[in-house]
Amino acid sequence: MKHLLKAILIVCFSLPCAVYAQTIQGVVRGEDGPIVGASVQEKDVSTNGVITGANGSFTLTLKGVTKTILVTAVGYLDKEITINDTNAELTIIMEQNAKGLDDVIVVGYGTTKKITNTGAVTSVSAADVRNIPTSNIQNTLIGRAPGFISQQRTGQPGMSGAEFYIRGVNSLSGESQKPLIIVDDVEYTYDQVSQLDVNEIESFSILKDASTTAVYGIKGANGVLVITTKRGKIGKPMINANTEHAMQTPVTHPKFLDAYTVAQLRNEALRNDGLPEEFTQEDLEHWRLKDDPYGHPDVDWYHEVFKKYSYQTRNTIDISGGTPKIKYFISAGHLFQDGYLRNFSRGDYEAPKNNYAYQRFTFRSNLDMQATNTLKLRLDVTGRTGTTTEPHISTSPLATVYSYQRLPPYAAPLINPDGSYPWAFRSRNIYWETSLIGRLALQGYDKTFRNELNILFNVEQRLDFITKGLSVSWRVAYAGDISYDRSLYRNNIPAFYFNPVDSSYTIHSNGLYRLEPLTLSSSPQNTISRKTVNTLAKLNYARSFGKHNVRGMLLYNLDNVTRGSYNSATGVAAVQEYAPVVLQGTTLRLEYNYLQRYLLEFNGAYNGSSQFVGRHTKGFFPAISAGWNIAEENFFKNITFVDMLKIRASWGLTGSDVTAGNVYKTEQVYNPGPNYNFGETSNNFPSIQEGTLGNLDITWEKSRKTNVGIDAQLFNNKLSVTVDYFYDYRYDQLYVKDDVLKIIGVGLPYTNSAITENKGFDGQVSYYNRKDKLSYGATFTFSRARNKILYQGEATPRYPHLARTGRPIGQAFGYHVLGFFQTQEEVDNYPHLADAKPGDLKYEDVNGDGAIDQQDYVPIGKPNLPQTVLGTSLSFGYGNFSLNILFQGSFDYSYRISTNQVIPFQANLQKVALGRWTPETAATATFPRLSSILAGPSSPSNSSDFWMVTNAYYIRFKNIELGYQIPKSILRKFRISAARLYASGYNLYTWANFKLYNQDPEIQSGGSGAVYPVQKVYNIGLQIGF
Amino acid sequence: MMTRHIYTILILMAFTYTSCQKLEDWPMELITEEYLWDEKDSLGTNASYFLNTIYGEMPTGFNRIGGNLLCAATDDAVPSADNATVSRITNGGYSPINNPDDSWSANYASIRKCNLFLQNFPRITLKQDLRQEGVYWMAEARFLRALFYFELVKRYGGVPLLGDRVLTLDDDLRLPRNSYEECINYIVNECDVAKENLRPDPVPNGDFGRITKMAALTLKAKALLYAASPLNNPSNDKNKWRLAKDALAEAIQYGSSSGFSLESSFSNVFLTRKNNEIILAYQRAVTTDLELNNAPIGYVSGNTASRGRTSPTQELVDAFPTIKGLPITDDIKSPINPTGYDPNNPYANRDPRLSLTVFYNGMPWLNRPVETFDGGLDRPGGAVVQTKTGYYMRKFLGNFSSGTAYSNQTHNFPIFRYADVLLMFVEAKNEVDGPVDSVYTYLREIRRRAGIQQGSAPNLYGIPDGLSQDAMRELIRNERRIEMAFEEQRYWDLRRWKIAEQIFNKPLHGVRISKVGSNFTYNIETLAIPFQFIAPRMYRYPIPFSEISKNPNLTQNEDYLTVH
Repeated sequence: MKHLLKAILIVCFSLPCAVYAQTIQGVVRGEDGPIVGASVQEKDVSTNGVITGANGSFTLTLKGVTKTILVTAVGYLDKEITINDTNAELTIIMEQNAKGLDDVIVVGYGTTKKITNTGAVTSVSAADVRNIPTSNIQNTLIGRAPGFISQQRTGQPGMSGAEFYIRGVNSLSGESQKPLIIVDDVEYTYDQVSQLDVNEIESFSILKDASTTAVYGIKGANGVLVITTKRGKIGKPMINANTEHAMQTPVTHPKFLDAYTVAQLRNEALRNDGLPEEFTQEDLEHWRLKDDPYGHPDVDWYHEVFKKYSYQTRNTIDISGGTPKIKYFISAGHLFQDGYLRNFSRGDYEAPKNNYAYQRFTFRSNLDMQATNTLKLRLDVTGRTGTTTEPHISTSPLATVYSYQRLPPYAAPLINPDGSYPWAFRSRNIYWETSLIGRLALQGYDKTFRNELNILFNVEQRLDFITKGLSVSWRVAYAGDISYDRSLYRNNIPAFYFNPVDSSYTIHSNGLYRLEPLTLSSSPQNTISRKTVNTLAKLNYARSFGKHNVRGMLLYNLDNVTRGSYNSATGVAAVQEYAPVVLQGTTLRLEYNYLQRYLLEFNGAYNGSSQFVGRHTKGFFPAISAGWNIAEENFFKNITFVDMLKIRASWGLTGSDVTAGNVYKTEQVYNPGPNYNFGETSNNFPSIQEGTLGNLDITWEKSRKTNVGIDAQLFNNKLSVTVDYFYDYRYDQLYVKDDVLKIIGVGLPYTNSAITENKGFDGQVSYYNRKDKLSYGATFTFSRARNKILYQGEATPRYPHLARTGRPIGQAFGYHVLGFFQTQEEVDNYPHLADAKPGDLKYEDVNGDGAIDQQDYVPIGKPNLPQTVLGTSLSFGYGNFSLNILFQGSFDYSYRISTNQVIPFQANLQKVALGRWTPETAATATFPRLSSILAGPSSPSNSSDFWMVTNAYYIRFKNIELGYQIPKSILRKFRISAARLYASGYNLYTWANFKLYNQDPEIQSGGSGAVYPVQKVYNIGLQIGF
Repeated sequence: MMTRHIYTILILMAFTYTSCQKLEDWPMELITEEYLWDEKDSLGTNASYFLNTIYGEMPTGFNRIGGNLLCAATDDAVPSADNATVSRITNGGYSPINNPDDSWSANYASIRKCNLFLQNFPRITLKQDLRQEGVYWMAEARFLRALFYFELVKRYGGVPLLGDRVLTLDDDLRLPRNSYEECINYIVNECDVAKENLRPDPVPNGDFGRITKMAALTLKAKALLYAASPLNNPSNDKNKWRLAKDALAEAIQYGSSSGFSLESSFSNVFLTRKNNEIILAYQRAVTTDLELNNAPIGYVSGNTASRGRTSPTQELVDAFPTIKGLPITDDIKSPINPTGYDPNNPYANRDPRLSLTVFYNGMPWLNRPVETFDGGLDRPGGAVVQTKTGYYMRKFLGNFSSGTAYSNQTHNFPIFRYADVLLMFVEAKNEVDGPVDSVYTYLREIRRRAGIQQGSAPNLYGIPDGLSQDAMRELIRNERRIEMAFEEQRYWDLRRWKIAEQIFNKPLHGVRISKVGSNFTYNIETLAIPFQFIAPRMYRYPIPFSEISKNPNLTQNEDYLTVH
């Protein structure tokens, strides 16, 4: 310990203490000139080193015996020089690192070289996505990383992180579909990863096959997203500041019909139902002429409530650098996203600001210390604090605007003549709501505060004295996550109905003449807190014996997760779901290659989870992989245009211990039930019920993964190609079987029963070239994954068309629509739902029993998650200009529209309703007849393929970035070393076959239809280095 | 020096391993099987809680099928709403896939709980003064199991009998059905065994609602009566009727000597928790839910409008006799008979049970008369859910003819009551011995309690002496209909008497009342509501398709194989 302290002191003061010294001098140069900040280090005394100065010059006093120095610089190949003449002035010319072969790829618990890698890994440099104006890093990877499939379900500030999957989904349990996320070897949740600032990140790796995921054993079955953060590099301090300002606007806008049209259609619908019309000719005339804004209002609520553009800004600053003894990367970041609500506050002090918003601060300090020649210490401290704001309102503003029941265009005027708020006197809701605008102005906010702190401490000791190339490291990492809510709100506001006929005001039924005081409710409401402690000990070995190269790793890992939760609604902690979980395991990796030509790798993890008991606690997850670098063979050497050609294959087993709900699935527990009354007077007596059966035999899901791939680099590494084919067989899935007879009389336990398969291919082709000042490149990525349920213990359905087995996970079922009923005769002659009339949807009577019911359901469409994802990115550079473009497309999926989005008179009417069936337009109708009955025969509440985009696709102009590097000659005056100005955009244009319903193509199928719209963003930024 | 680093690291590592233990590896805060059946729980607290759960699974009537009474699928009532779940029964019937009253899984779940209790409870050593209580609990669980089987048998016919087995996933669950007779015998035997150990009647006030010996005698008798009825006794084996009659006689004999009698007031039977007539009821907390669900729609209690879900039919109203106990067709008002039935004032001079069973126009409720005339507050027309027949259901509802709002009331669902025992007895007795004196005595007793005028011999309470057996059967059936209306009796009675196909498949009727000035005119109208019964298939429920498809040994009921 004393020694450690001493080491730290030495590092801190960097005292030179040479005794028998030989001093050398020199300059380090690259092709373009001297290299500033290159590291010059004595090879056998790693604490002895210097950084090149202004003209690339350095002076170093040698202490060791071999007299060899090691020169390293970012972007150049390392160079070793043995000093013969210590008096001569050295000129060291560094060779630029050719893009490719020596690239290092981050894999689980370590790195590997691209050339010797035998697994399916995709690596994305964070630099490529750093300037994409989105708050969530997972929104940046689709279309860039083959195998990465995501859908961004909402654009709400603070919640806009896409849900993502690696190579699609392959488990019947939704919880067990999510990939493992590892940030600096510590597991993160979906939520946590959304909070990271991309400026802190060095690289992303997506581990896809068994060979790369087996090290995570019981958690590796869904693929792994590995994120590494930036670290300091030897060099003088570099300060880097970045500021971005952006405007956001929804990708799609709903377009609702005006009051005159809606009122006419309302009358038509009522006539169709044989009911009296709601509006008189006089009413209609008022709306047509728009001459009675209070008695017959006509308001475009969408445009009145939401603004077109909202602001977003992101600012980061970091400093990095280091000496051979200490390296550091310290950063801070700030993000603010404003919401799309207009400001309705009228300067009223009683109106708390409540627009949707997200504000986040992030900070990170990554330190590396070379305590002694052989001992390295590492301390990473990082924290994030975020605040999400939403208006306090029972139904979201957009959902209200969508709802005809609540807010038809003629519901109410915007504001009364005397400035008071109206209530929706023409809505269909029997409890007429007070003005939406008034409520947004005065009802207050709900805020969620989320605080995270991560600390990682690592010690690495080289053990060369035992055997060369051996080292041991030990790490403890803590991740804490606490969130709580605070609401400042009132439930009601005063509102009045202004009658223009007699200029009278009628108070709303809530009877409020003045504002209620605000109520403050604070945490713990729906609070989640989570603590993860991860301990890891690792033994590394890497050595070359002539032509034989060996690497090995042995690792012990222990994860301890404790979660707490408090639900204000029930007043109790959700103890069952949040029982503490412990995971531990031992992982072994062995790599061998002969001349980097024949590659062999074994990965295995023996680990266990406390979610299971007895012999089912621990399991072994092995994987082997092999590769053949054909281009390294002598017979291939004269084929000069091929730089690398490698075929590789892997096979192995991984697991997933994620289970939904109660972690104690092994145990049967008894729960309090409803009370029963005994006695002459009403007296409650408690009861206890038998819970679902436990299953002591449950264990993790298993995935047998096969992967075959090819990597090639051609034409001087200008063209590179990677293609992988995969087949995953997921078995022993935790599932409640449906084929057990009900006479057992009790809820059935989870069993390891279901089987699914998932297969497909992914890869990328990229080309990059550079000629003088011009550089250009293109990358095309593709991913395809299709799954199928092979077994799920399904009870034999009455008809084969109802079977789920053999179909993809998440297959929707519903009626097949044959068209519209055109005549009453046709209705009478074909089975139909009750109340069907001409103009209603004609559902196919699939089983031919003369009735339309759920027995006529057939599989409709495809799963909601896209099965094919393509991406094309283009880059150009000329002199100081650079341009990057990404197009991304998703294909092969389905989207089902929900009642709240489209059903007339539940939702406000959009243009699509104009194509309704009427006897006159029977031949050309595109929409069923209008009806005032919401759950009528044609309603989307009867699942059918009419209300579905069965073969959905979209292509997005996902992002563009145009940058200009300000010439150094200008900067020098301002003592700035580098500055770059750029403009970028996100989701700029979308081509989709969704236009009819004005919905974003990524939102959840069948969802409520009023989620915060996904945003497109126009952004400008300035990056300055000192 | 180097080794010292290693030691430091190793010590740190060791520290890690020992400090990272799991907090607990057992759901310590949850109730486990061991805790539930803890041998040392000498008060049997948890076990009694478990038994309470089983009590809570007894049949509970009222608005249980999608908000409607099961009786809304008989000729007594129709649901007020369109497309009600219960209407499926009268509109195409139940199918193995869709049955609004399917109770296969629920009853087997309850049977399992009984078996769990019977299997595990003996492990507990109760303290001395609770031993007898423990004996009662065991017998209660046995009775409850028989009751759940009866619920199954009444719907499906013979079902698999599990005995005392608690099934596990390792068992072969593909059990065949036992015959109808085997099931009835099982229920009868279980009642015979249980009755010896059940609480004797009458029970102390605190135990009211628990199962007593009288309940076991009643269930046994009812099972035997069902077995003797035409549906299950096609050859009309008199011996089956005799067995039923004897069991009912035993129940009456025991009951009358143990405090059971007809409650003096008919409405009290449903509104007081403890009364002389209730043998077993589903005991609920006090509520206003029945009032809110079924009272006429024009009434608002607090801020909640009543929902008027049930519309009794003209058929039911017409089944009530006049105040003299005579059918309305035999007692027409005339100058010489001023208290007879008057089609222009049809609700006057009627059996007092009528106004306790249905709401009709002009009846007082919450400080105003019911308005079911066209355009009245309770039949406003338009799209709101409202009566389809001109009537609403009144039975079980608290006495709110005055007052402005409902208050919490006892609404226990009667499973067995003494009047039922008497009516079952007269039915069986009439089949075995014809209309002998005891048949008259009990029927007249029921009518006397109902408030029907005594009249004079030989027409006491409107029942003429010397009726034929067939005429008496009709009279008993009608009396059963009106006395037990909405108690989930007629639905099953129509089936066991095998007359459903005659009663159904005819249009039902309601009344249209028009108000001119202060005068009402009554027009009977035919309801355009499907009222079908597909014989013989619908006499038994289909076994759910999901069970049939998983168990090749399970045979489906007649006529369900070829249709879906």
